[in-house]
Amino acid sequence: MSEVSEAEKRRILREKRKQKFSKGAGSARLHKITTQQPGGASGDSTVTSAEISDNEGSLQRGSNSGQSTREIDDLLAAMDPPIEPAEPLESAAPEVAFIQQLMKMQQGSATPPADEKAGGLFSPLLERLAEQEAGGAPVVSGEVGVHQFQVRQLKAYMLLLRWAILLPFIYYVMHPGTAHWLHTSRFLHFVMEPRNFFMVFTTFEVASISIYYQVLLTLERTNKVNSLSYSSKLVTWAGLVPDGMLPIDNLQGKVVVALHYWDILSMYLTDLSLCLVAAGLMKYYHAAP
Amino acid sequence: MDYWILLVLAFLVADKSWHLTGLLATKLTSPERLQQLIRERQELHQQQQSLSAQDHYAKWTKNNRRLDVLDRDIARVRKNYLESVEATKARLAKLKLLVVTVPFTALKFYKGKLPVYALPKGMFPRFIEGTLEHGWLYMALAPLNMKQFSEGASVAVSLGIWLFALLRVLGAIEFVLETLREQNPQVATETAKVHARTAQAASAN
Repeated sequence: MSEVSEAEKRRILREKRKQKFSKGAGSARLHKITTQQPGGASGDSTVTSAEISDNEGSLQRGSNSGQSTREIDDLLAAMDPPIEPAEPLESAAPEVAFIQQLMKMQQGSATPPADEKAGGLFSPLLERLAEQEAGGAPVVSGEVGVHQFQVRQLKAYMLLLRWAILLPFIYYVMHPGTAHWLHTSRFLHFVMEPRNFFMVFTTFEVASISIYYQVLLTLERTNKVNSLSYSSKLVTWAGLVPDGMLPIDNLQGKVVVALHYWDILSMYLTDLSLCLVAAGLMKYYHAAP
Repeated sequence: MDYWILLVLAFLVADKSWHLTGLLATKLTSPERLQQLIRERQELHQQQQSLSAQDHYAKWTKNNRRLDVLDRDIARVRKNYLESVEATKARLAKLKLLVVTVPFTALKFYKGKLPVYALPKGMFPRFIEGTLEHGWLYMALAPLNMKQFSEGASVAVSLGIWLFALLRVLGAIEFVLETLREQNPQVATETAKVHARTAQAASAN
């Protein structure tokens, strides 16, 4: 056996220690001690007594148990030490797993350049899908979240406005005898005639939906966000299809246009449904003694 | 009103209010044990914070071990609790399928053409009036001109179409209510930051 010098032994020990630290050994213990020291800076994983008492108070107060379940989940999520998954995308959706596998194959066949991200071709898509999966909802980060909120508000208010106009219109259209004030104007008489209902309704819908669409486009230009690109999975999936695989150019753009048309048609159908339901109710109302 | 329509309305109400049974599921499985453990942990944690690790090392370490055990217990009890809630919810979902979804769907197919009310003829184009009277099948068979209109001054609205319209309107109302109740994410983030700052200041004091 060869004799190892004191300096050599120290060097080997130092290297072993470095290796151990680089693997993260002991960090959990260190983290625990530093976060539980009284008066010390508390880490994210430590639950402050204020948080616990707040949560527990609300648990005891809890008006409904669904809420209390959610609160327990939140509390326990806060209480659990942060677990850093070795591969955060491992538990994501099958499509994410599929792309991940493709990425691995890509990495195996050709080593990417040093400045390229590990994901290579698929990395932006993978990131977006992972974000969607993590939230279980469309991407709602920062400006996009605010934009989507504004779009939903616009849609809701436009719907209310349209219904506020349509309901009195249906009331008078379904009126068995024409109201006396309608005789004062030939135009009003024409508009309230049941035979002209569909024409008037469609004209109103075209005008109101066009206004909505123009406001939406202005909002998209102001916020520099395309609403459908972030809220529809169909657009994301269309973006996954590589160019040239299908004999359709710009598939994602076409899907976005189709979804816009569907959105408009859907609004029209909803208003038509309202007219049907309201017409039925008005019929019973006017027939009542 | 026809009894069939009343039955359909009853199914509709049951379908829309079924989510309330989820509350029943959580009520049936009380989280008392979990609350007790959380309370215990809170007390121990407060005690631990008042101790100095250097001055009372033995006690500090003992508390630390107890905290570890409590954390494990809480995780286990939480898992059991969530599993029991999920199991109850799964049973309720099966019950919904049997009691509401299947009979409701069958009823829609069986009585789909039942006239609910009549609208004046000429209010809608022929194509739409045909669909109102004969259901979606009219749309598919329209090019063959197989389905004929009923004579008279009015067009009946069939149950299937009326239900489709009603569900669409209810969905739109739900969307409007949800949207109007929703908080602006920007404001929500600011509020959360203020709350976090207040909590931090309170814990520092």
